[in-house]
Amino acid sequence: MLVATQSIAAGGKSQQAQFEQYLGDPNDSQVALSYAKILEADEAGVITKEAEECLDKWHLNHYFVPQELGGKLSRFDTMVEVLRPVFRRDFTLGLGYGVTSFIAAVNVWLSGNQEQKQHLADILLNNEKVSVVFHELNHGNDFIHNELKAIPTANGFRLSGKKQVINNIERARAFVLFAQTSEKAGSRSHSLFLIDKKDLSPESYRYLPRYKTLGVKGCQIAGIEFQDTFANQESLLGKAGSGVENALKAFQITRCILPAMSVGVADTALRTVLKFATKRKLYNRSVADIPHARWTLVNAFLDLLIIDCLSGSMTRALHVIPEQMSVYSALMKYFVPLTIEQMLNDLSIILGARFYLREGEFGIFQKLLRDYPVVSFGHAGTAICQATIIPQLKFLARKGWSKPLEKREHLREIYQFEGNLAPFQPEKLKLTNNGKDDILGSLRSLLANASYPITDELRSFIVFFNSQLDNLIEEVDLLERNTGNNLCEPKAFDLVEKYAIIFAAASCINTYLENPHHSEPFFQSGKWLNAALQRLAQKLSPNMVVESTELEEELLYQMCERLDNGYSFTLAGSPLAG
Amino acid sequence: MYYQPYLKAEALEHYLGDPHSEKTTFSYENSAALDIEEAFPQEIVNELQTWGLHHYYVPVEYGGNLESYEQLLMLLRLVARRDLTVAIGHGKTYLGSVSVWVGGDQPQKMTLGQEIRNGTIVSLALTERAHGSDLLANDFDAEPNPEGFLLTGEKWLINNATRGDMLTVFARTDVKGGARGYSVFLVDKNQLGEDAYTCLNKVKTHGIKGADISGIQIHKTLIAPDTLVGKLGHGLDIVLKSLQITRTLCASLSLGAADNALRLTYQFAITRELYDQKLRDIPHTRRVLLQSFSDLLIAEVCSITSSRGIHVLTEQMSLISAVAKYFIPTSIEDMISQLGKVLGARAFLVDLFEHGRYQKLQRDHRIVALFDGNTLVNLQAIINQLKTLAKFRNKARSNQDQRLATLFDVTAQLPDFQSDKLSLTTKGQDTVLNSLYHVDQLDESSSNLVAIKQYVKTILAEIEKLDSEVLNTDWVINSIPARCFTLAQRYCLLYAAAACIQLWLFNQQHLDSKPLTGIWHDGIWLRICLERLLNKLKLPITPCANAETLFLEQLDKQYHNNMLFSLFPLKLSDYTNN
Repeated sequence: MLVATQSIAAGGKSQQAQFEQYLGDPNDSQVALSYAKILEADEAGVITKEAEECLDKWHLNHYFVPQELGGKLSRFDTMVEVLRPVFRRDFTLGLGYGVTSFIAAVNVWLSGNQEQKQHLADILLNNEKVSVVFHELNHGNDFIHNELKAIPTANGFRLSGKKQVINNIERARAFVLFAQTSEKAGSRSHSLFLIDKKDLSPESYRYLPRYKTLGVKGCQIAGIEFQDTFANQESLLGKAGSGVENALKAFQITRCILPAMSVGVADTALRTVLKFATKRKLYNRSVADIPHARWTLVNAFLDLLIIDCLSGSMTRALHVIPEQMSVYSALMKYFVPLTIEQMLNDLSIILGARFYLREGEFGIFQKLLRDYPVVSFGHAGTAICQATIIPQLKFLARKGWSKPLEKREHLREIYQFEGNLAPFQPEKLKLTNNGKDDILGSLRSLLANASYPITDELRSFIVFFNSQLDNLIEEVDLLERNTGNNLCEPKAFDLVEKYAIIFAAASCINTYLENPHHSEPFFQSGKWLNAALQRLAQKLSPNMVVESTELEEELLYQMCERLDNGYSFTLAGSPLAG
Repeated sequence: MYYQPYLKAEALEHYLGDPHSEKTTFSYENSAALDIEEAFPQEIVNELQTWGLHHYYVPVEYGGNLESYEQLLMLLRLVARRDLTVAIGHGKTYLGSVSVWVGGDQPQKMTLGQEIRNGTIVSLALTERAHGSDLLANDFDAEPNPEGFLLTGEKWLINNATRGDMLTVFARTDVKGGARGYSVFLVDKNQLGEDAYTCLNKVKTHGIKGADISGIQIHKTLIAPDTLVGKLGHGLDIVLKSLQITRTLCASLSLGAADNALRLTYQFAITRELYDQKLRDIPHTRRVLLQSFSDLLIAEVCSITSSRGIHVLTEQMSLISAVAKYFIPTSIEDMISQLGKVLGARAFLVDLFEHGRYQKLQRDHRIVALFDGNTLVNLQAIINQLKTLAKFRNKARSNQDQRLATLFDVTAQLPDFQSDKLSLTTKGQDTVLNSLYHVDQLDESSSNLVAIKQYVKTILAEIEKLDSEVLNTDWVINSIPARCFTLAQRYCLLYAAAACIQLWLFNQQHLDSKPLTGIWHDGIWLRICLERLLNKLKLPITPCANAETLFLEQLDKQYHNNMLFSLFPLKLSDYTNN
């Protein structure tokens, strides 16, 4: 689908910087995307015209459309870089303006024919919106039991039924629909459709009332009901009956992209609280001088670096090892939102009573807190992601986790910030990993590979995480024996949690080792890596406690410097507009 | 047996009526509507007044019904299970008056008792805009002069500052400040001149939107000498001691919210079908239900222990209240957020599922960890005592506190509360945790009891480890290393485990009442709760599927019989929907 020429990621960084400048300082109440206006819109439950026009003018929608169809999408890591400035400012807008359209569009890019792709591309390039019409309140993430029917007729399909909690349904020009096309039970009973509302008879469907929501209050979330609505034959995406498989493959992309974009939310949360902590005086000093507050701030920074390692590598892994993304995308969707939610909670403690206020200088924080949970259940709940992984655990344990990965060349492509990247090949996405796990396999072979400059401290972490992986293999084995092949019991969720932590550690290590020429001294020093690994190790074993006030000092200094000089808290430390 | 405090609590519950019914004033529907309008729940509060809840804020010796804090806690718990905004808006009068019960003279107490019984609303004016929990930085002045005191300054984020008739004000009486530079005053707003004060606007908050969270400015106003509560300069002492009681009572809010959240989620989990089975029976849901029900019971045990502690271990309340106020709200916050994952999209919809009850209780409950001394303040209060506690541990091994039975046997008559026994430190005493050195009654007659006995050993070993780390760590009070916060958190988990063990030991023989024998028998609930706590401590456990099944059967039974989720029977007035 994506353009066949190789491109350079540095493009993403500079485009992000330009976009930041274009959007302006969010603390300046005059700009369209200022915190003041964002909070005002949130209270009113709207997304303002001003904000959307601002993004339209920048042609943000073009980033959702592959290059060969006239858009600007060629690599997923770049796309994430470009969208983060929106998420830094307003999650509601990010979702309501565009990402919903992208989630819908991915299904078309994956399974549509040329005509359908071009039609959708034209809609998006014209700044129109597309909706994802999947969700039925009575079935949640249980697709196979979705009830909305598309009954095949002589020249098309007859739609009947309801879909609920659908973002932008009323104002979207088109939508991607998931519907039951066959009465036969099983995974071949549903299909996907791309439907342009212009092709529907307006009397044959109606919108259901808008929902009031806790967060993303500005998003226009409502429902739609079809009553013998006729959809033509051309609206079918892919083969009839391939809906479940194709939707699951599309999820592998969005489960990486959405959490990766949402790192922008974490950045704003940390920035807001750091600002508070350096300004606010308690007990005759600034809050940032209180050890517990420093510790919380530094941990939040480390968490942000960790999930940034995951975001960068997994959005590139989509290009490099698409056949392994069923597990990796689920890990992303599980680990990143969970980490950010926990971070928001920890940071709220520093903010004290201010976090509870919907007004004033720090009022943006409670909005982040309300908006963010959408990422967790938005289009696939955390539990469901875990359920994707659990059935694969025993195969991973036997294959991917047990065999050291010999060839590492392709890892470089996954981890290098500024390298070339193979074009994305959607046909290579698979519904299971078949036991493959190159990332943890690479953790197995690291110490045998002499070409990496591994310090003693890093070596001891690598040994530690390898031994944790040994334990995990044993635990999977034990569970398998105790449950008679069916791993699905409560304990299995603890194993997924461990897996995710070791996976995150391996991702951080690889990110560091595969970017030896990165010029940033902070990155180069590798101190952040040791601290991040320490943080992850503690989640596995409470006895892994080494406190270094010196390191804490350095990290905090780094954060304050970035705050003062206007750089993001991500690995790249991108310039911000404020 | 009957758990005494539940008699009155059940009476209140039945007076209030079925919260699902349209005929009920204190219904979920009305609470939801008031929340959306951000309106004070006046009608509901009036109902509570008619029943006479406010009489329980006045000690019996001053004409009220407050005899047992355990009783008051359980009454507030049942109010909180319907609506935290109401519980907080009404219970505030106790917070406003407690300084007088603790530090006031006889005439003040008699007058205030009379006022409250007549319906006067009392509020506590403690915090200031720029200083939060840093009380010694407060600069609201009460300048002593020959005719009384001249009040000047602002108090902000004060519950009922606008609606309240009387205020207890914490004010600086010595410009130099310091521990003896503050005093408490009981001020009647109606006796101040109209120009004497300005109530500040209601602040927009994240939760408890209907509550009157505002502030007050007092402009150079003279108040009479007899408004001084306790001795001049003793304000800090009085307030800190008073907070020991209110912090303990805050547990009622968490317990109420926990019941509400678990009941709602369970209702959803048994009606919803997913993947061809009930949502309840999906492993992930089972796990969350198991953890949530145990979190709730652990919180209940701690609440019972701490509120009985007010009477029995009064001199240890500096520690007990800090443990309760840190541990209960944070663990219930975590539980509520896990339950939200089971509810999925419904956790996010404000006007759809059960009047958006979940999102409201979740937002409302977040204030609990914040007010009356936030999480950090309470952890610090524990940390400050860790060394002395560790030093005194050895003595505790040989000396058993004779008051254990009065504390833990819930059928034992509580001694009268004597406020003069309150102390700012516990002087190394921790009857609850140290009681673990005296559990010889535990036999090994069943596999559950064998497991429990093993857990006791694990816990004792962990106490030793923790003590030795504490003794080997040096810190100064105004610069506590972050690691100490982890130690204090672990201390609380161990403390909770000790409370569970003792509560089971001292009450299991009473449990002849059928509805509960299921989990009291053979230590089922104790085993599950200890496993939950040890799991949080990352210490080894050997879970037993059979015990888990019995435990969840009890949850199911309590739900279907409309019983409060509890270790003791209490019939709710909810309709039976099964």
